Amino acid sequence: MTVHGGIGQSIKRKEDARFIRGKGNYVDDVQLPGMLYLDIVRSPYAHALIKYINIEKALKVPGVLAVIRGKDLDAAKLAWMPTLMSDTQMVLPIERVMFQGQEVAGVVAESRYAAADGVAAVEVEYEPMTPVVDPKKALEPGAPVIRWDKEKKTNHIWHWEVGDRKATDAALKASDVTVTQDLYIPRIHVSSIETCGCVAAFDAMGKLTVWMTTQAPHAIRTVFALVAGLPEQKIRIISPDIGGGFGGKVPVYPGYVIAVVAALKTGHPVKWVEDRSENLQSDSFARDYHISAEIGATKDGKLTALKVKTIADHGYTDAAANPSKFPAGLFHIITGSYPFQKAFVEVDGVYTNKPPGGIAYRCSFRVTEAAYTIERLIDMLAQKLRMDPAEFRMKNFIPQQAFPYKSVLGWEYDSGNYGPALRKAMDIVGYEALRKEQLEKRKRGELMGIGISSFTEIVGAGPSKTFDILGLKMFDSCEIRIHPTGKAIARFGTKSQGQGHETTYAQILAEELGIPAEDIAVEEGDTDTAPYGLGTYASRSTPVAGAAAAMAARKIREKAKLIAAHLLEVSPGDLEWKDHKFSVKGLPSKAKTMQEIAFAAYTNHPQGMEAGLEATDYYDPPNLTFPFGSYICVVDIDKDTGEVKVRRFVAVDDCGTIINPMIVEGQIHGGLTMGFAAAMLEEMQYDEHGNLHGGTFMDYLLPTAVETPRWETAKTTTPSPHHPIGAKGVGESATVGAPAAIVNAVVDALSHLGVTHIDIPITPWKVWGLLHEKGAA
Amino acid sequence: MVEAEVRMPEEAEVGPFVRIHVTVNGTPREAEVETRTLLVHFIREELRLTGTHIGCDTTNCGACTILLDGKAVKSCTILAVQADGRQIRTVEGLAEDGKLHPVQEGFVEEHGLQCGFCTPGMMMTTVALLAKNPNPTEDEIRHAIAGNLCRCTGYVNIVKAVQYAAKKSQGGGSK
Amino acid sequence: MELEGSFTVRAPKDRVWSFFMDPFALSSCISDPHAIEVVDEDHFKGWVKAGVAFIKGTFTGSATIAERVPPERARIKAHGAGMGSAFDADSTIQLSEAGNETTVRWKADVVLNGTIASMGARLLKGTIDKKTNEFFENARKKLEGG
Repeated sequence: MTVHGGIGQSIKRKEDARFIRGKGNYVDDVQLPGMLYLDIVRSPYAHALIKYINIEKALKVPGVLAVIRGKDLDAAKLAWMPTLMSDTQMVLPIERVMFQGQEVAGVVAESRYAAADGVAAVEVEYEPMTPVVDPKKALEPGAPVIRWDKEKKTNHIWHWEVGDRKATDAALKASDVTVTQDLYIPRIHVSSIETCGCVAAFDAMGKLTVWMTTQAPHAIRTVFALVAGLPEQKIRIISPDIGGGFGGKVPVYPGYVIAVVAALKTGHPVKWVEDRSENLQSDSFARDYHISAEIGATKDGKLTALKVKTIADHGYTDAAANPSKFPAGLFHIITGSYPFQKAFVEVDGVYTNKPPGGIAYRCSFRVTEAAYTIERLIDMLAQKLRMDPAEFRMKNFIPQQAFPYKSVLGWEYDSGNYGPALRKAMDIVGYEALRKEQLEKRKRGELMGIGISSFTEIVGAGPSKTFDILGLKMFDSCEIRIHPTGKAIARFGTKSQGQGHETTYAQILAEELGIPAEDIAVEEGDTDTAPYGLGTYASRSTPVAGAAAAMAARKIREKAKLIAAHLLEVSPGDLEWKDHKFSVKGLPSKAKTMQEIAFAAYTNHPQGMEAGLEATDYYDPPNLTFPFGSYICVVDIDKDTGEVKVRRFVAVDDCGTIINPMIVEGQIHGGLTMGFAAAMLEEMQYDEHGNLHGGTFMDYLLPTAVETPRWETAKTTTPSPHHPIGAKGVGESATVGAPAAIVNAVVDALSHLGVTHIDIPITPWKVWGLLHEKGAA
Repeated sequence: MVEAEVRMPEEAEVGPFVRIHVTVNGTPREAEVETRTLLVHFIREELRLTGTHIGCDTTNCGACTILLDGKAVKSCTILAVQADGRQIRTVEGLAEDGKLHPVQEGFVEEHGLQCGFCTPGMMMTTVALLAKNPNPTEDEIRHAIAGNLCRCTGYVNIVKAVQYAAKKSQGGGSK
Repeated sequence: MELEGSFTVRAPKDRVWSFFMDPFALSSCISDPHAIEVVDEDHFKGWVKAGVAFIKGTFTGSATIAERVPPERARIKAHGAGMGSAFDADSTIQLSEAGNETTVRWKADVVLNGTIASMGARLLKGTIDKKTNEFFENARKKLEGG
């Protein structure tokens, strides 16, 4: 007997009911009596001294109530705040601005229109300074030092390395074949359709409630308490419905803090919601990695060593929100699906006059950068060795018997079975036939390419031994309470921004408790009621909070068993949990359902036992999880325009146990589209003055339904041995794996012309230029 | 030297105000609005219908799409005063007597939404499309929704949702 | 951004020079709403309501005649801000006479920052070309007409 809505069922989502009726409750939907609006004056300069900020005219604008400046915050020691990487960031500047679009003053008014009028009336006089825009130049001696406030006058933030440099150098030197390549992964912006914002309100007793677009409400509450000196029990962060997060709603943005100060100052609730252009110009970006890599192999195609050096452009402060011991995130997953014996990775973080951030675009803490790099290098090496890239990968994959596999850079991969995933992708796409077609097309001068990406992901941060953010360990939690009528409510420390937690968590619990999913209410996001957790990003909800759900449910089952024994008048040892109920071993008709047990927990519990039926679990994962996949992309290139058309894209993903196949497929579609966007469309370009070019959707191109390929998905299933239900998580896999498949396909289409690499985004302009350069058009 | 006084233009003036009459999801409403008030702000803040969302500031994303006299428009780029004397239909006006519109049903059945933020606009565009073209091809669907950006779904299931709604509308006879 | 151009007008060099050194004469060539105030012989300030596409608003600014060699050439520096944007321009004009015509060669090094540079980048060149042509056409009408 299956429970309705158990694991593996594609039940429809519970959250849809309100969204399709337009009854979602997003931050900008919150309207409180007497609410005021905050709008922000922003710097046109990327690097300048502030000579003065005149607010007289602004204060005279009808409807404007206050203008907040850095010096007002300074009095409360709030002009600067810590970042999630223990660096410091300005809330509002007093002396200098550090990036174009930086917040300079906050205008509070009775309406959003009056606030905008006020912003236009604030007069700021700047003395421009030379901006530092190129991170490599920033490291040169004599470069202007951006962080004048730090003791060490340098633009170099930190150096991080792992692996054996000497042994890797030696192995590369001894390799028969090596490939050296520079790859630039440009700055991009996640641009969820809802921008960031908050509503801050103090009640009559001084309790602060902030509705906030945040993926990590508890962590934010604690940071607020520490930074603002407010008692933590008097701060309530409510993360209501979030219109997409993808990492962009993890950092604490100055706007939130200014709104709280404005609420305090005016005694009214204050709403701050940024425009799209503000979002693009100042919120957390992603990527901006300047990579130099070298990979080696024997002449018969066995990988030997990998060496990677990266310059990481962090903007003017390190606000990357990585786990604290890993300033470059989980970048050292870069050995990927391959058993390198020797590897060395080093990353140097650099300050520039750009907005801070670094990991906000569905990247699993820099895993997109790593997977892209290794899968590009693998293809380049295959090209040099004149080996088929699929064959080259098959020859080198970490074999299934080697799992749990300890990589030379320190990760223990829980499980993997790479060969069958690639083979499945090849079968679905018809790989061998496509290679034949390519050969024929080449003879006719037609351009067609096939690209593979066989990536290994690393998610589910993380074990408390090594993972923390600002000292907060990265466990997560589930608290379940079962009511007398057999319904339940479960609360979590994570926060869905579209991943469907209200449905999927209910499914885990349905499976573990024998209660139909529709009878289980799932709540997240209110720090007054939800158990403490580190939030949802880096695909950690299923691996960590999903595990907590299973463990909490099992704690309930332990108590339920005792109640069932009491009801059935047997000893607990005689009972087994089978078919989602407790029955006497060998006598299945003598059973009690969870509903019957729940009722008894309040009306007929054994003497000496506490009433009620609830449990909480704080799950400290023993390891990360390692989803993986193989993607194959087929492209056709128009010789005359350089336009690349994705003819087919087959994605085979393995995320272990799948809770809701429909939802997992949706996550993959979305991730593939973001990977496609990164490969083909998106780039944040800065000119030499530090201006962001294309700071609106007119120029920053998100894929529409027209150019987005028709994704084909399939799966293999290799459960995680250490996860209570074998699930690994999947939210970001597709964004991690897709770009390399697309770039590999384009390069493959042009490889006979001598092309070995093209930096993303691959625009028609770039391809057209290459075709002309190579005399092919 | 001749001097002239530099008098700044009166930029930050409130008003003028105009009284407008708009039929909203079948119900006549009236209000005083500043002439510069955008229709989307009027809908969200004056009418308190927050299902219509704002996702950009350059008329690109389509999250604010509503029907104005049956035509799909981006309400962020229309002034409230332009809706005077006209009919608007928002996502709140799709279901009738609690019964879901086929488009709404399609989006649930085919998992055509994740975070839900682009969904109201996407559905209104779909309603307008199916009114004009009751049986669109996949290409026609993708072109029709090209003005509605979605960051979550990758559009595959949105196309399926529209196809579901098309089929249901033809069979079921709902509008 | 480097801009340059030239325009030839049927008017004597002295008159053209006086015209270009007279802030009110120049001001009369600007079609957008604006006002100018003279601080002294070499400095003036003002505002103009202009913009690029939808980034329209009021820009306040000042200009300085940094060098002048009458009636041959001059160097003018200008700075302005508004609408979350800022600009700095360093320009030179050079006059030469041939018969009853005067040619004005001008060059400007313009640095734009903020909204206009970031949002309007693509539209900028078109607008600048248009405004520049408008300005010189108006100047021509005034010089040849009166």
